[in-house]
Amino acid sequence: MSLRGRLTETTPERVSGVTDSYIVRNFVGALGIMLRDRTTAFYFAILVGVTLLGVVGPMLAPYGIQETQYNAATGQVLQAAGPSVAHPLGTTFAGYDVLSRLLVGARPTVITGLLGGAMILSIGTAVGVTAGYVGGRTETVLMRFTDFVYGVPLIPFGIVLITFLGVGFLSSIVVIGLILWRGGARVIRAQTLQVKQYPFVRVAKATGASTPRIIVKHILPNVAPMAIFFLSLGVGYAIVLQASLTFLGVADPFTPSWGVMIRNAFRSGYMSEAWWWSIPPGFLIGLTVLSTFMFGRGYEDLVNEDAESAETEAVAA
Amino acid sequence: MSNDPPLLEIRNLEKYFEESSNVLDVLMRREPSQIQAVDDVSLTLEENDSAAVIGESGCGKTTLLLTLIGLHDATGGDIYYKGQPVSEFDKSDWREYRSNVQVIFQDPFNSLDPKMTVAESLKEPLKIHGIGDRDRRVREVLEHVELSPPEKYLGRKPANLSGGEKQRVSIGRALVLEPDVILADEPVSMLDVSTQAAVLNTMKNLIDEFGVSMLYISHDLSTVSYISEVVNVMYLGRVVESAPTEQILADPKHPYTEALVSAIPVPDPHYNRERTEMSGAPRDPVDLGEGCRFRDRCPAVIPPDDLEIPQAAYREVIAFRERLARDDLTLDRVRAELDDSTDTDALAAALREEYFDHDLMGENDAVLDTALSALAAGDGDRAGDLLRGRFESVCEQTPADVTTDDEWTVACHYYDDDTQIEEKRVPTTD
Repeated sequence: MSLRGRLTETTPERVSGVTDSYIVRNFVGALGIMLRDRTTAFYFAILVGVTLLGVVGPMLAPYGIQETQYNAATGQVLQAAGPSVAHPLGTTFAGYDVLSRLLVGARPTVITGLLGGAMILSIGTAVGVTAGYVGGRTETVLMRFTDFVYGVPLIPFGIVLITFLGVGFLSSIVVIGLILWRGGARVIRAQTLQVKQYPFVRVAKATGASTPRIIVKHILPNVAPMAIFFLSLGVGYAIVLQASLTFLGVADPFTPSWGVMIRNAFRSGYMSEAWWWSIPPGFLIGLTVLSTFMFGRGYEDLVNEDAESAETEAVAA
Repeated sequence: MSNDPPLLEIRNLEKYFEESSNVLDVLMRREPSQIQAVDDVSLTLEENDSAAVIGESGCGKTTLLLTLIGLHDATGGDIYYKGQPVSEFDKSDWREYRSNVQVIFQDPFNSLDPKMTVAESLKEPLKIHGIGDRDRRVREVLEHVELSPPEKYLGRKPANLSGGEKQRVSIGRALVLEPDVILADEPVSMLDVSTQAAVLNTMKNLIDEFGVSMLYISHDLSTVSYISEVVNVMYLGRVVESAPTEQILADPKHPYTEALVSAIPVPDPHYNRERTEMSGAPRDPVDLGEGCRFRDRCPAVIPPDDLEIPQAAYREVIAFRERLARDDLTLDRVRAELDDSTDTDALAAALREEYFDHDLMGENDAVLDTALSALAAGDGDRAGDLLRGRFESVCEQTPADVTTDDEWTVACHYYDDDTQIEEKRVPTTD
């Protein structure tokens, strides 16, 4: 049975308290609809693969990442040696095994994506839903602040912030999260405005539901599809932005993410000759980001799903 | 006979919205325009009573309802629940009010959260008010709204329900707290006709069975007699007539009610009856000012006593004056169509052609001509004064509510006798 089938099958069953929970059920349900599309399922599989790589990659690495490799025959350091059986992706200028570094580098990349995406999602949703639902002065303040953040140039601001927070792997992710939530906030606010004028929200209010209850039970589940979309976009942006920051040298160069590999290749001056050093991490970054974006594109299917019920609405009206 | 206060009483309720003003308005110190959505509405709902509010789209029915459930703050007047004014409610009063006054909205397709199953939607009010034994209550209420067996529906989402089933769930959700009052906003208008009857019957039975009172809001007089004993007819924010349903259907007093009643379809293709003519659409409820609000569409506007004028011609004059007062005349367009745009006589003639189909006689004709000439010469104020001097109608003053003993209230200048509703009107022949 397909993954989608299994996902949707679990939803109506009361498998456990977790799957029965309101938000989890809707999240899984939305994912199930999105995965009906083959393209989306394909990119989702790639994302799962990259995530798995992040988990098990370091264990698979054949050599240590700072272990200088020597030519067995001559005893010389393998400086930027091309691909061979012992080193399928060649070695770096310092004689490190590229494949090992690539496998170990998957973890920081995945962590960047997930943490950055999660920060973007949570800040964006919190700001968007609060502004949209509460309205009035709160909305004005929050949205003007969002506009302000929109005016902040990304990379220079990142560099400045990192100077304050100190160069580090985590601080670079925090910087990314602190800037990139702005797009999500705007769109989720718009969605909230739409959802909050539906009669079911009015009924809930008229029955005496508290504002937090309405937000958690009615607003969040109904903006969740959009939130998934922004989560996937956020993951992609976070990875790209961190790679850029690393390349510029303002993120921790000692955490061997894929971005750091490209940077080191560039710094060594061997980037053009030692293609096996720079192209694999570049390709993997590209593939991961592409997959997150394409997975986000699956959101269209969700919208179409909603549109079907919207059509009956229009007919009835 | 007890002297308990009525269950729900609305006294002179007003809800105005201010049209959004921009920076320029603030700088110019312009008063923002007021949208008079609900203006001086009073009605009472006794226990086990069912009253209806009828009116066209945009007459303020829904605003009235949203004000009743506390989603809008009233601009003036008050709502009394069991004799206690809503404006003085504290938190626990509101809690009680919200559990005892439930609402059913018009649109069944958006009344249920698409992400919630039927069971969750029905349990929500119970959870909010901390009432236990939810599973049993939900099952019971589903059976009451004729969705049985309940097991079939409990786990479904709204997407898997038909329109009628959705509306039944909405009704169930309103009933699950066993409220005193249900406010129903056109609960069947978006359903098929066959489903309408079934849902209406269910509602009717439930009113009797649960002993709830219902305020039924609709634009459709034909469904009202199913549900309600008393009808309030609303036009542009005001109640123009209110009477027991059967009487109002048999013998409507207000010209607007008459038009509504005559618009109820009769399922007989050969039946030929006189219809009351009503043209155009209601005005925007912005800055309505004094006067009967129906006067620009009324088929029986009252001319001054000493004025001899056919009703159709008089209505044209009234409509023209109305547009003049609102600066709503297409002067520029009429002028552009002239050969010589400076020729005021030609402009006056063209205006007459544009706005008047009927001929006027004698003095009336002369006054209109003078007024049009003044208008063409650019003196709109003088034109207005001239026309008012000749053609001012009693309908430009707000009619008082006239009430008789048999609970018949009507606000129209034809009925301005203190105690009796008396047919003063001559039938109009257009």
